[in-house]
Amino acid sequence: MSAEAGIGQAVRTGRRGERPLGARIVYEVSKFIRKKPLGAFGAVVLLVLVGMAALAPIITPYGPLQQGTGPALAPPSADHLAGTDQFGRDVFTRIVYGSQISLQVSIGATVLAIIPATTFGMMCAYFRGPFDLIFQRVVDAFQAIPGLILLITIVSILGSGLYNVILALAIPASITGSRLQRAASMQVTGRDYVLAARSLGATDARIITRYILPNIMAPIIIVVSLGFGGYILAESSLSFLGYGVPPPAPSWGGMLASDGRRYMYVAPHMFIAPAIALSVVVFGVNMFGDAMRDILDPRLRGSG
Amino acid sequence: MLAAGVSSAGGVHMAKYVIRRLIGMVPTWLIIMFMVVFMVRLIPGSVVDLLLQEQGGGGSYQEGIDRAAIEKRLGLSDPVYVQYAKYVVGVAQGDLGESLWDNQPVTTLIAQRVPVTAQVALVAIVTSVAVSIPVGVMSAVRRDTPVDYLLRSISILGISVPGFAIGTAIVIFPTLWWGVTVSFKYVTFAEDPIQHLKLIIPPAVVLGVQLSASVARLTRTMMLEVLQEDYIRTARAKGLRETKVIVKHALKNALIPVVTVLGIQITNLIGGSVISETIFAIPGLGRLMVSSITARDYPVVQGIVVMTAVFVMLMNLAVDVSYGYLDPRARPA
Amino acid sequence: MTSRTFESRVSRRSVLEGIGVGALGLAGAALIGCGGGGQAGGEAGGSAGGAAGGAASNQPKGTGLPLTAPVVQGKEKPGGTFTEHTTSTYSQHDPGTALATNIWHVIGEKGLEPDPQTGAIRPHVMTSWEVADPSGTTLVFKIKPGIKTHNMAPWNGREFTAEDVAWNLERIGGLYAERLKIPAASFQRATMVANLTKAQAVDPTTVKVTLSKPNSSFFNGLMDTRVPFAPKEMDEIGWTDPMKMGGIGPFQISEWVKDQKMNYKKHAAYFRPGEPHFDNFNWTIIPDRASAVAAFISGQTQMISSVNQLEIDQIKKAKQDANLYQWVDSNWHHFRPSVEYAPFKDLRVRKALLLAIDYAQIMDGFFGSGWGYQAALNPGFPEGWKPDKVKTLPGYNPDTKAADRAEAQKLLAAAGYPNGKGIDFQIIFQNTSGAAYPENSQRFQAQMSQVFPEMKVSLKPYADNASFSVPQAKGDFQMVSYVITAAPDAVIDMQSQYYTGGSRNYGHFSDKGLDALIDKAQAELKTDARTALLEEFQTKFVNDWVPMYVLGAQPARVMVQGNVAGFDTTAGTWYGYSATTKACRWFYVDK
Repeated sequence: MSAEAGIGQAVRTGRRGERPLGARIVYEVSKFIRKKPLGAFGAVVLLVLVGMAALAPIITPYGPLQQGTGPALAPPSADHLAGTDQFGRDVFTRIVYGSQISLQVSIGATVLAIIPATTFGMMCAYFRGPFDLIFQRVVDAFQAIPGLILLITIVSILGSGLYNVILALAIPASITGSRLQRAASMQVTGRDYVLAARSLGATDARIITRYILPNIMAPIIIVVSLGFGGYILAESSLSFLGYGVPPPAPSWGGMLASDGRRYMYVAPHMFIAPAIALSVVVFGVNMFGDAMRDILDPRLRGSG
Repeated sequence: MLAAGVSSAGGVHMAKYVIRRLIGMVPTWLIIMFMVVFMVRLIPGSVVDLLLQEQGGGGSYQEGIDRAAIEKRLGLSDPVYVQYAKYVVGVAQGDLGESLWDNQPVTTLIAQRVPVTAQVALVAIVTSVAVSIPVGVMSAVRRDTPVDYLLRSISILGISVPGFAIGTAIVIFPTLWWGVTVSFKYVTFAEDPIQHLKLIIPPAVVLGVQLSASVARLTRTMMLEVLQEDYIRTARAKGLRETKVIVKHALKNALIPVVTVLGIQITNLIGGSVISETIFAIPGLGRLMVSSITARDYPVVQGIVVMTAVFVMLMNLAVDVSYGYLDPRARPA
Repeated sequence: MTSRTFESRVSRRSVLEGIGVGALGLAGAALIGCGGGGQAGGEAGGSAGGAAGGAASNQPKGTGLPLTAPVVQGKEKPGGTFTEHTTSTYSQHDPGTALATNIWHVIGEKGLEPDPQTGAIRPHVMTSWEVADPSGTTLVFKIKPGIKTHNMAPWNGREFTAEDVAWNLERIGGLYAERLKIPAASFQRATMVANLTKAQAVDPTTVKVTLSKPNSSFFNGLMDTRVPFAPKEMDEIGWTDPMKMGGIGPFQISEWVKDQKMNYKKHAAYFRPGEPHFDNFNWTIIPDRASAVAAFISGQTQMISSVNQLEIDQIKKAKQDANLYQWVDSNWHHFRPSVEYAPFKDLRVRKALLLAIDYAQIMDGFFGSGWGYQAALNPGFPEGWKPDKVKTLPGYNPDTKAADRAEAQKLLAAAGYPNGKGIDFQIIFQNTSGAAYPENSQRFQAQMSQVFPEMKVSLKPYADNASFSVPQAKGDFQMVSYVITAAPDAVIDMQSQYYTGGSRNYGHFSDKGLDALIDKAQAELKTDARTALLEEFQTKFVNDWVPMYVLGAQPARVMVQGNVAGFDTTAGTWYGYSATTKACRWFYVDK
């Protein structure tokens, strides 16, 4: 059923609820595209990213670690859409598989960070007192130390490897991110229904999960969608300094920062391909995050 | 956190607020020092290993490497918490220790490197703010129009491309195309002011591009928020010209959190300076930090983190204090 | 951290039995004046117009190894500033204990110098050297008179005498460890003068050295770039402030700013009159490789070392008149297995890998052409097997690769690991930008998975040298990918690598026969007999021991701006630490 028909029907009947679900989704999506085209572009990018990661073995002609698929350092051609690298590996294949790593890094770090951040934030807002006081000092400490230094130190301690990098990215974010969640939670804890629940004898845990958490979902979503791209960029900076996801993994950051820069003089495609992939994804993710925030942040709703 | 301590009772309260904040910084500082003292020592490969590594010979000089003596000489033989305590006491007296490699006082090393990093950061901040605030305002005022989309796209591109990629492009493409590139021979301002300023620009550009993007974005968001406020509607209803409304009323208030965020971004600038200092061969604080970690030069790493943290915290305090003066709602009556 | 792939000076002939003075015949003529005499029979090389040579020379010269060393001609332009780049300022300044390049390579001078191409011992600070008694435990050296120290306090150009030399020898040997309160083991180069018990100045130009037992490597050891001499007051002055350091070398420190620059100016009393040389020798710090290449292309530096084939192509496109110098180097890349990992204890397993590796694919892949096959000893050693010979050995021979691999599979199966099943190891390496190790490891990994499908090989990179060196030094690995700079003497090199408890024997290889052979060679003062022992060593290395997989000797490649002359006189396998020690022989010409 087309969107127009669905809308027409809604107008005729005057009641939204009667529209079929499928049409409703199409309607919302087209509204989204019209009102926030950049955000829609970002959504498309995200979908492509996830699609690439999921379908990688199907859409690539070679393996990501397979050497000698063609002459080394060959420029883009029909056989090798993005050329080959110094081992004769197909760059296009590595870019596609790199999406898996980018997703793992950003989703992994985000999830690992958001759970403690939200927990600490809620706890601080709810319990206040000495716990809050001390924890805020810890947050101050983490914010005052330059992020890259923290990352390098943590990776040095843990050793190299994909999971260690994810952990390293998540740790500072989990602490500093709690501040936003705390602020959002504080707005909620003062509300009447929380006081009412408490006077009725609800346990702390129940109050936290039942009342506070749902009401801070919006800030959570905003933080997530805005921070997503940052992790991918951070991993590439770490790769530049030698602390990122190690070879032979096809991480975009690694491809860009080590091999790409090294062979840039004679094989610029090795630099340009991951640069484009990385930038487009981060750009798209940021745009999508902006759109999400525009929609969800109640203070920004309304005319404009 | 911001207007909390500032009441309408004026100057005395402000002073009390500042003192309270300064006292509140002490535990933070202690935590920072603990973190850094503890963490650098966790990194595998101590400086003693480095010093003793690779015995170039063999045979009769192999028996018993006297690690203990070296460790004692370097002050590394105490348990970590003792080293921490000694360090805190030292810092309280202004003594940041000496480099483990060449015994230079850490304060001297830092003092040598701070100026150029500060200059790069300053140029980056000034230029990016000059560009990004108008961009953010335009974007907000023309929300969801093609102008908004274009401006936002450009500024977001700034934070989508990794800093080292921008820096690499600045160095390599001119070389590839014309055989010329930036100069890598660093000179201080005293030695050759013009050349020095020329050296500062490329890394400032790299940092500035990234800073611009965040500031533009934040400005846009804050402007959007402020533009919905009642007093803006009142001003419009009073018939004030739109430009005046935007600049005189909205912008001032929107900028306050932006300034706050700039304070937070300073730590990012130091991290970002690592990359641009490496690519452009600038002897700044960022590079010193990374090379000290690589060399396990604990006092230098600790010193830089401590000094940076102090600076950041004081900056944030200054920003918050000025917030109290700028925000009409928080201004003393 | 300074790069670890410094080319090294290596010795060559172990001159024994007092041959020193007579054999060279130039003892009197070859004076201090930078590099200790030019090519055979000549004075400093490369002077203006009329100099021999012309275009690049690819003729092997004496060592049988390929060498590219174009001769630059033109009108001499004495003076000028020569700029080179490095990634960081030196952090250690005591040559006796330093691990890496240090200021003394520029401001100091060595006792003896190797001919860059043949490695023959040439006089330098010491004009003659001999074993003075039949037991081989007394050595006598003559010192060149009239050597002047740098014109700075507290030396003010005083003469450098036998007393200074004697002090240096004892200090290098670690004899002052207790007095200086530094652990004896910190004196990294003590093996260069192993067995030294006493050195004394008999008169201002004669030094007598006493050994506890004969050491056939002693003279070669003195050619090591890492044992330069310093004036004897240095212990009082201390080794922490580079600006206070003065020596006898061709350049004197003029500016030092950490992580920014190291600048030197010429030491006038050093140079022979009429010889062209630079007035200033500056080092600029550029930590990033891509930027360093850009700096060379834009003319900000005059030289760039360790260029790979791609950088060469790019530089040549941008600067047609830049010259490439290339030779087979004394740095050899390898994979070192640890015998602590059970499968590697079995000789059959070790041999299987030796046969299965495609050395050419790995070395060609990273270096392109110009590297040299190596088995046990670096081909630059006179006793070392040359690449042509190594190439005929099973495992190394590209023509028999398929058959070798089949044999390897049989060996593994016989050892109980059919197709590599049951072998699961990790290669550790340093993941620094531009290094060969990540690529070597990845190519090796791909090869093994091809030949032994059930074998599992994984990679573990370390971000910096400090983290990497810990597991390597502790032997905490199954396999290591790294590079070794050969010691100046074959026996010293083999002892440190493979002797039980040897200082570089990180894989803990131990074989009594090997130890006995080394001991014998160390004590053997007759050249022919010594060479025969080393021949035996190399044969047993590939047949009976296989303690290491040597990928090959890397090609040293340096690009120099087209208006710099004289580099050809210093190019060669034994050319030492590149610009740190040889810049005194180069000069500008008008182009």
